[in-house]
Amino acid sequence: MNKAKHYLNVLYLSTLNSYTQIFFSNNKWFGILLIAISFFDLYSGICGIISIITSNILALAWKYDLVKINKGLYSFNSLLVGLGIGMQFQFSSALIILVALSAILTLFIYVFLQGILNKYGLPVLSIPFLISFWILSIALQQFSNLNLSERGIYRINEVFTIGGINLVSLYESIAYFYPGKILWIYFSSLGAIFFQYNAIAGIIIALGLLFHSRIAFSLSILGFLSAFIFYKILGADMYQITYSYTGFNYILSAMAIGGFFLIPSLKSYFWAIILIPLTTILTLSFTTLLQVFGLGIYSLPFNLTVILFLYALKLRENLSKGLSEVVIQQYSPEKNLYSFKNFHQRFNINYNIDLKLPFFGKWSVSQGVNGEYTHQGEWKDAFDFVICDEQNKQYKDDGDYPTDYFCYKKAIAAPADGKVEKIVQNIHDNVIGQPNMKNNWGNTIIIKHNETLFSKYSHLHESSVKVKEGETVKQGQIIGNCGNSGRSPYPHLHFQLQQSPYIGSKTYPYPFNAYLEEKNGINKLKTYSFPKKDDVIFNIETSALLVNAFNFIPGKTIRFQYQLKNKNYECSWEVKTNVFNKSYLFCEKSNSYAYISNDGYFHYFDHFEGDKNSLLYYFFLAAYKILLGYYQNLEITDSMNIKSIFKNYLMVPHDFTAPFFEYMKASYTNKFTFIDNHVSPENISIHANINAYILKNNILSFIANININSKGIASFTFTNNQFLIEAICIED
Amino acid sequence: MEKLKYERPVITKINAGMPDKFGMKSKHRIINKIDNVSVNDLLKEYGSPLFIISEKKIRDTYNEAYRAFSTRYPKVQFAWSYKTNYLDAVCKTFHKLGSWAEVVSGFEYEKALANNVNGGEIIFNGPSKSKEELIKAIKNGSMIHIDHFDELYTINEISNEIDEKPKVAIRVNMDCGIYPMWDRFGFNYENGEAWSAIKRIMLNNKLELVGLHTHIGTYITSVSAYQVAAGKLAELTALIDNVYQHKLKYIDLGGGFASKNTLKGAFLPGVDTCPSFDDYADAITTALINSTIDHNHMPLLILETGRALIDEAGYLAGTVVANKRLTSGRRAVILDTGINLLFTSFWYDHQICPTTENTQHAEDTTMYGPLCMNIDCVRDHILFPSMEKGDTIVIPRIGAYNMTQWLQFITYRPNIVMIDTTGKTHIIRKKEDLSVFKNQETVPLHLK
Repeated sequence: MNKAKHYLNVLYLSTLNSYTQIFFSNNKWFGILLIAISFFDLYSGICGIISIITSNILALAWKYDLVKINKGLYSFNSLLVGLGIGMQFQFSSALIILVALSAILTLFIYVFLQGILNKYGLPVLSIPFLISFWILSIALQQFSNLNLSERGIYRINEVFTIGGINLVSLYESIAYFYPGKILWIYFSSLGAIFFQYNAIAGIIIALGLLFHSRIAFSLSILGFLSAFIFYKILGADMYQITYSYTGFNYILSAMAIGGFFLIPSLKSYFWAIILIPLTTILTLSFTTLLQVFGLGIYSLPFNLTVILFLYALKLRENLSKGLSEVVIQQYSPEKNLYSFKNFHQRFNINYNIDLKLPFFGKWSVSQGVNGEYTHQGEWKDAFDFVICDEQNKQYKDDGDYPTDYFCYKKAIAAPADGKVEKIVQNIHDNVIGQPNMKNNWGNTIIIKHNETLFSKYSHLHESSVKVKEGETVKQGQIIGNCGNSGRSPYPHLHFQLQQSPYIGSKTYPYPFNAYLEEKNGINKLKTYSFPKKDDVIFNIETSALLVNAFNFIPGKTIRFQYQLKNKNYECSWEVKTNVFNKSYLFCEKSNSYAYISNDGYFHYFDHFEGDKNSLLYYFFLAAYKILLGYYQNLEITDSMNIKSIFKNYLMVPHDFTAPFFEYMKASYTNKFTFIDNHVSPENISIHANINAYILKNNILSFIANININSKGIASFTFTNNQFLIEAICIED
Repeated sequence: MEKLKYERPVITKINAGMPDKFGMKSKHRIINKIDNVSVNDLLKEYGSPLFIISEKKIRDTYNEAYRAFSTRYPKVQFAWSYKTNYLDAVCKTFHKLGSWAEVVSGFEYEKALANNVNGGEIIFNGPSKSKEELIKAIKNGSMIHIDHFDELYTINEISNEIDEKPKVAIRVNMDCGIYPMWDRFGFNYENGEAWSAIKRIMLNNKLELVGLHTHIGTYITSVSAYQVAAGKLAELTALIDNVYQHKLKYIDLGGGFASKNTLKGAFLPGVDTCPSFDDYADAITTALINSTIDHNHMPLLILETGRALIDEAGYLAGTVVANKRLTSGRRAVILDTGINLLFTSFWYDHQICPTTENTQHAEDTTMYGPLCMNIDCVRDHILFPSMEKGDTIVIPRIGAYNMTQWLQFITYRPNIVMIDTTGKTHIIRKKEDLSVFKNQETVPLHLK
């Protein structure tokens, strides 16, 4: 029974998503709309469904990736082929067989192309449809039992037999609806994607598109206009595209480049507009070329443009600047954009190894990135660390001997787990002021953290290395002592990250995950930062109580009793983990998900899905970012994903401008307010503020208090002017 | 022309040529200024004798010590040892710098509270704590370092009576290879007494064992002893984790670091022989880091250093009362700073420095205090230049113990001033007068 339910669900999802996949969406309502449009021509619609089901049954039987099946990836090409064939031929039992066979062929082509293209990180798009449809177009001319559809030709007659003159006039008003030349071309181009050559289908698709995504919708218009203007400039006839129905190539290309495969931004819009004229050139040239074989070009220009562009983009040397590819595809340009922006504001760039400072206690930076002495050229992204006293002096007495320097012989610790790659430790320490110009780096350790991240420690004390080559080290493990060997006039630690395991490799810019900076007696939190010259910095010490409270182990259940408007409620959350090893809190009652990450220093809530009136949502806001070490008066700030704060209707106008500028903002701050005991605390309180702004006007503000005890989260309150929630943990 | 100062004739053996094993001919250190403030001006303003404390020196020394440990070990905390010097101004200087309080009596506990130290940041040590004092400390969330089984029983008793869960540590004594081995405080490590105390605490749900404490002695000049002590406490910590899956919050290595004073009978001066903070820190942190304690749960390292932090910051300034010639022919000088103010002269050969350079010649001299008691001798032998009545002297490195162990014997205790970091002076303890004693005393009616 359950199995049947499961398969039905897969069929339902995969069918719906096959339609939306064509428009780079997974919006359920949009899908239903598209299915309806495909049934404007009943037989074509049926053929579409048949081909989807055929492909997916085969994909299921052969145990292809269920996630991909559900996304409709194996079937959307077949769908297009099915719709196309259904449109061209008379409906018959022979046609059904043909549709099913073509679906299988399309699936094979898809799987084959996927094997080739995915290796290069490229999408398959609708190339399988193209190939398959071409093959069929040529082959089907030979079959005598298949008759060309006459539906288009005698349609009025057919309509009249069904509904009389009234239906005919309704049909005519729909089929020949003409909203002006430009709009008509735009709408019919949209309709042509589903082989519907009328404006009404286009209007419905356009509305669906607008409902699905404002960004995709505006891109569809921009792409179309770009082509239109280009035709005008070249003196070519735009009207021609309405006969060959290739206008959708411009629309789909603009949507794909401007907002689907790339994060929507000014630059992505720019490229979307620039590439459209190129697509028109491809269109014109391939139309002529393929006419020789009697084939239509269908979506060829779109496929070529997008794949060529994406491949060229991937081979850029510096990926960090400008156009960013979407890493986690959420099938919505808005979702991609907001989560990308939020992720970058919070975590800078996706650094998957967390580096701590490689020493104990407070050290100062004597030379930072691009330092004036030696951190230049290929070695610019390095740090020199020393210890200074309160007068900012690095040494006691006169500083004539290495032993006068505070950092001399101090322990150096591994900043992250790794494997010792290389050790040099036989170079004498220098007399102060007389650097050893022969052995530039002096005694050095190189630790490998992953295939492309190595950390290097130089000028170490002679014979002080505590580890061996090939040995694995843990974060915080002492590996050697600071010294004065090599090109070092006075004792200091030279620390750099690099992408290759050699002494002398060029440096690689990589930030420290989180540390504290002391300035005028006040501690400031730095995350994903590069310490600057003269910064006094030290590692964060975590508190066992906080670490325990925010250690959400999969399987754990947390139950809360809460009060809202004098009514009592109960709810329970389960900690779960998904296939991507991402943990989340799940509330079954409200079907809500709050995704968690924890880097050892911070507990973060990454993302929320579900009911925004649930207790889990309020907890998601209250504990958005929690430092796991107690530091009185240290303010933790973070920016929030505006999509998780603002109501949907407020987001609609914002979506249009979001790729260029955002006028809505949401911020999170918190502070520790209470600890009962520093040695063995049993109670800690956190006070958090959540504020939302439209054009710098504070329109929403929440206050939350979280109390933590030795069992975990003891209670929390959440309030704004309108309501107060008091939740108490009743069971862990 | 001003009349030249009279210089008494002195007969001394000529030590020409190569320096002998005691070095070159002794040179007197002159101290006329402390933090750029003239000692003679201070004496004129506040009277003689006078205790002078340098805030700058306290800060510098503390920072040096803290830096030595904190750059070697991830979690370090100092606790100011009240008994060394519990003048409020001194304590508050340390608290401002981040020190907690380490107290050994109910009186000191009250003082710490009065200095606004959070109850959770007071370590309560010592062999004698009354039940009332313990209850107060437990309610304040202070760390109680248990010294003996009877105290443990009392705390057990208290834990049944009140709601708060006492946070306790035990004091452990051990053989660190040094003499004397202090075994009168705490539970012995080698004979299993300490483990038995730990077991009793761990099996009692009403007590929380937060740490381990040791204090191996005083004026320890051998850093290896600390290495042994830290290693042994670390072993216990790891054992507790293994057996009870209980992670201790801290290891308290106590104090006992030597200051730069010279002990009586020492062959070489303390300045040359005493280890630096770096030496102590290196020994202790190396032992802890190399121990078997779970790397991810390293306990906080607490240090209760007193003497080494404050000794250098205290000075005692005084005046020559008289010169004398003893029957043996030896010269003697009577100072107004006797053992009543300089209790530590029982174990140190204090350096005594003139404030002005009168002469380059020195004579073997005995320094007496002003008390009418035979024991009041500050230095038996000291090569000292000739002094006249009214000349002033400074005794450096007396910040530890003298302002807590001093005797109120036949005279008032003098002013104590602190020179702040800007060079301004503040009286931090007023000179006593008769009213201090009148306030405390009552006379039965029939004697009035």
